[in-house]
Amino acid sequence: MRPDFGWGVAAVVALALGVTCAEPYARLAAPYYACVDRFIARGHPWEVTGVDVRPGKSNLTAELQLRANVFRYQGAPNRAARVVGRVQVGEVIETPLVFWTLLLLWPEESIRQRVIRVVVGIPVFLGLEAITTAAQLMLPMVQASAILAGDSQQVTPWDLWSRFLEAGGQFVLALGFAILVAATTRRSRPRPDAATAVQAPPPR
Amino acid sequence: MRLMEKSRSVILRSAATPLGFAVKFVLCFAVLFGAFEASRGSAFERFVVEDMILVPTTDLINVVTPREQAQLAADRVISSPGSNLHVTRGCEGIEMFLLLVAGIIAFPASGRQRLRGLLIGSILAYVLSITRLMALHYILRYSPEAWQALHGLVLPLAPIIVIALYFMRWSGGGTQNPLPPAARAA
Repeated sequence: MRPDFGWGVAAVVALALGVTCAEPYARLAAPYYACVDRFIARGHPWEVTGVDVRPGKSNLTAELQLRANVFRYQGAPNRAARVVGRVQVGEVIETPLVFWTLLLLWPEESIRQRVIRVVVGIPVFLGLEAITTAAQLMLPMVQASAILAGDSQQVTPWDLWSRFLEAGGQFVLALGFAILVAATTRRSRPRPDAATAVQAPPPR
Repeated sequence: MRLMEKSRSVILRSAATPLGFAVKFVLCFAVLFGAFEASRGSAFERFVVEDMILVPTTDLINVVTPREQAQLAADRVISSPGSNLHVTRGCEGIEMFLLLVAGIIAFPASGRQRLRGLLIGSILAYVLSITRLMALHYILRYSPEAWQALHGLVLPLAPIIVIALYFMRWSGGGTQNPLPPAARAA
């Protein structure tokens, strides 16, 4: 089978899997996103009250929604705003789909190497999820804080990051990190000259 | 002179490795994205998004299905009696061009090969952008129950995969021996 045809088949299978599993995956991963977002919210006037999957505004889509309280300052007695961060479940599954498809189908030499790749890939993937989906869910909290500070027109770095992810950045990062893992866990081959040197008989 | 040649060969070799390519690709994409974001609201951005993508999409919908009476309304909404498709930031299909350009810049190839890759790839990306928006319009109009699966995952990702496959074909078939002799020997 031609390699690009093989990748094409893999892409179609991955897309079918993504369509089927998008909502269950979002439900499964929601506690992890909540954990990451609560960690990031520390040191900010934000309180994450929950992350779960609910119907979207138009009822056409299911969304992963983050609910949070935003305060004027850290330690303020009353909340100043209540915000909802939304990411469609289809977008949620995009990162794992691209990352794991590429990593698992990357040409391997042995099963051991494949296992190493998966083991190294897990923490990288968790980090990737934190900077993509978990970060996108937090955008409304940042925007609410900016508005409360009297800066409603400000484009924060968080806004730019969110736009970057929406404009294909999520795909680029998943692809980049998968290649990073694949390349760094690649078994280094002995150089041909070194191999020749080892095999050559000792001079008399 | 020798130093320049040596550093050029090192750069080409690093870009030829998967890791070197990935780093260069992500950086190129980030720069291109930043440049396009900086142009938001300008005449250039309006020309690219509205005149080059949204107007032809609306016209094509009316050619294919004259009963639709689609119009490009204010705020980038493709409007017809049964649906209003709001084309928001990141939905226009620009990312396909950015991905293609970043990939071609990051991959070591000759200027001629890059130009050929860009030309054919841009036509493909343009066709995919318009087809995707038309598909979104018809799904919203006739099959809204399929919106979640198609809008959320398939229609954003499938054209990118097509571009990625095109890129793989270009980088594998179109660029034999992309490195100069110095880099190949090193």
